[in-house]
Amino acid sequence: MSSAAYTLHLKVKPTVLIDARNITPDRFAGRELSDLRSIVVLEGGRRTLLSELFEIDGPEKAPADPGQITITFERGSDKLCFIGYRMSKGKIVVRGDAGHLVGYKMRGGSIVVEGSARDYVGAKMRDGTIEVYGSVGHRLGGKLPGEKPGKGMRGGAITIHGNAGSEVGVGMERGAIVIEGGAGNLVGSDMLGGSIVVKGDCGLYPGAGMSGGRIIVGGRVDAILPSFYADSMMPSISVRGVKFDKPFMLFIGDVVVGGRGLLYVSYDDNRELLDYYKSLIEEVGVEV
Amino acid sequence: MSEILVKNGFVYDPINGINGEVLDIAVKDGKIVDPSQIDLSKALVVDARGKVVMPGGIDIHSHIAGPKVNLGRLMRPEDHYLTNRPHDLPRRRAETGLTVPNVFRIGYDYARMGYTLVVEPATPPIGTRHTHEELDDIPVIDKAAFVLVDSNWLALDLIAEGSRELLAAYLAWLLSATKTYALKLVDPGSDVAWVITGRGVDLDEQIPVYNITPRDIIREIGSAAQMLNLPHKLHVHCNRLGYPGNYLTTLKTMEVTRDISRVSESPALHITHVQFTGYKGDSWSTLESGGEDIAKAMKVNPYVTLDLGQVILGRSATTMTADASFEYVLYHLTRWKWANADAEVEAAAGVVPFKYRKRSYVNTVQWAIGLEVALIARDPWRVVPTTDHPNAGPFVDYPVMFSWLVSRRAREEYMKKVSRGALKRTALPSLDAEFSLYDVAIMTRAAPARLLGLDKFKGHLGVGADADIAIYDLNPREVDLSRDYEKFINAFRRAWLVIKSGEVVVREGEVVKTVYGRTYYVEPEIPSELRKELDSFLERKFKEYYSIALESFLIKEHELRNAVKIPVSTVVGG
Repeated sequence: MSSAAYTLHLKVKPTVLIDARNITPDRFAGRELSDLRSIVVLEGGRRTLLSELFEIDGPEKAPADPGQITITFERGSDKLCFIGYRMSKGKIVVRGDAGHLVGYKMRGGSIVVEGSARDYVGAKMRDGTIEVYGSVGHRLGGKLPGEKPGKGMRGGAITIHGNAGSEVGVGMERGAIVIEGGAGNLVGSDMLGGSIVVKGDCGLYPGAGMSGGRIIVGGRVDAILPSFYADSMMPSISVRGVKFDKPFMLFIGDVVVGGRGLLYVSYDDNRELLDYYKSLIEEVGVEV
Repeated sequence: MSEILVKNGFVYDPINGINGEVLDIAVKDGKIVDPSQIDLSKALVVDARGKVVMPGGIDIHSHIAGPKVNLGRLMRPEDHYLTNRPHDLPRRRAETGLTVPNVFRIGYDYARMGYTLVVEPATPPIGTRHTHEELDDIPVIDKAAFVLVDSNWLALDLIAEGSRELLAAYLAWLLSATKTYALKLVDPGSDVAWVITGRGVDLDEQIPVYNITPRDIIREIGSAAQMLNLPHKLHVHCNRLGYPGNYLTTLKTMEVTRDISRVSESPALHITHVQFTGYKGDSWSTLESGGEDIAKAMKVNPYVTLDLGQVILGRSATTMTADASFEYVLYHLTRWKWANADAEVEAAAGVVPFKYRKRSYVNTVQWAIGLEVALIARDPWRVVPTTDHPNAGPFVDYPVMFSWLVSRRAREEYMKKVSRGALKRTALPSLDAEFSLYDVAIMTRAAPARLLGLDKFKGHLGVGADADIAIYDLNPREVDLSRDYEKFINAFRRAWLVIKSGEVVVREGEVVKTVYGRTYYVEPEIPSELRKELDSFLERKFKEYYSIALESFLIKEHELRNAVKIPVSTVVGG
């Protein structure tokens, strides 16, 4: 078993979006280095070759098994889109920023972005792991606009160490998203299943239109939809290895779509918002 | 190159009675001429040996432009993700979309199939300026639009008052003001009833406020169309569309033609997408096909014509109709997305994405109804195949639909994939009728041209006709359509050569030139004694009902890219 590490240096800082969907371990597997240099890359929609944009270093011949291939982008750029498109095995490391659609439709393997990434990270991914050290844009692990709920992320795990934008996990079906920082509005809208953990604050209306799955917000919430029932108080919760040692309030919704999704909101951070719900829960508790 | 000679092809031209004879067709200055008038040294000679030569195809009912089509595009971005095709300028512009394609793809895909005239069957009067803007941008094909008058308050007022001549004058004015070609009724009266009571109406139910029935609307507007002597009299989408048991309404609607006094031998009523109104049974679970009954009723109602609205299974569709009340019901069945729009005092429309599934009981019955109507009626001059694009399927699947009509084997192969339980409730498995290539030429060329009243210069290859010619790479002497239906599908999906108005636009299935066609409209004359009455009526009603001024409502001829007026001699007041 030998592993092969390829490094790609961007020659110049790109000024237009680059479609790097062909730079994946699956495409590299079993090909000569000279062959790899002629992989097609789109620069601003125009066809060009990998060697025009990158200097590539690595073994003369790539192993046939993509699982043994590691591709490292030594310099990142927020113009590099479609990194790890449909990859099934292996690893991609970006030592810098990445653009849109990192890990779009990814089927396995892992992607590490050491900087930040833009929108649609892990959109429609089936399996594998994505880790971003910086922040990401909107629709992390989401579906494309117009598609049915459940057409988003369908498995795998995404970890974001920074913040995320709006509509995290929109339309996701399975899998897990963990955000160490905060998130924008509409976390987990239209989701059918899976888990989203936001350790920091989030914006308006988490879980809008959700019919399954769970969302954990460990910080402040700007507002909760009136279509969520306050169910109960939990003294502490643990999800996917993330443990919170503080009380959470559990909401169930979104009743607008007849959903039974679980929304956990930190009680201590949202006393102003949740005290009224707490009084309702206690009132019912007394009657029962 | 203004002269073309198409040599040695097997010509199918039903209007002139030519059935597969080897003939030469000559084209000069956009018209078909006698081959002797061609200067062979300058002409482009096309050798169509072993190929089928037909007039350009005509689609009588396809939602290709208008406010609701655009609403569908806005609603379905997912329709455009995987269907993009970059431009190939200067030959071809960029294309995208399947069920709600962009304007360029509509024109090009029709041209690739050999179609050269397509009718947008429903445009609300006040939205027609937009419809024309879109039609103007559809390349290659010729166009026309039908204007909606089913729930038009002005027309309903006149029907309720019983002023027949003024109604005819108003409709004549509406056609010329909106530059449209014929009158369309969609679920007559239902949009009004739906706004007031929350439900549609059946043919003999009272429409609230007006106290008339949909039967009155069809009869009065049908009679007005006769007075105006419109080339395409009346295009009707029946009441109760999409509800089980609605085939009875369709049969009753056919009988309304007996109450309409005709001025000519042309059909009085065209019932559109009859598949959607051919359901027997009390509920969705007991749904059966009413196709046989409708096909038999065709025999006793000679002035009725039909188009199918054939369902294509397994492809996504976007239902869009001016039958807003039905779309509301459909949304509750699909529970995904829905859009409805109300066009002031005239009409309403709804859009709901839908997918017909092969294994579904209901969808299989729907699939069978369209074919049953066509195969049992066996009257290609009066039963025209359409998919009511994009309601029952995208128009690009027309060749597949034709294969079910020309080949029993194609049907049997397909029946293996659909719901067995549903087939037992239909007559389709026992039908062995097969249409010939000549019948296909009738159904897709001659009959629609005749139904539209354009058969003087469209839908045939006689001298003087427009030079719209489609050549398909199919040798009718060697290919047995019944067995080799795949060859037939491939040939019709991508025409070998298409000539539009004397210019070669498609070669071997690919667009080689972007040209723009004409838009046909009618402008029936209004007698001067009615003119005054009509003017005061319009002035009064526009102040009362409309949000825009009467002058802004009128569409001028110069607003259309290439408008062509079809002359009409009316008999109003005569």
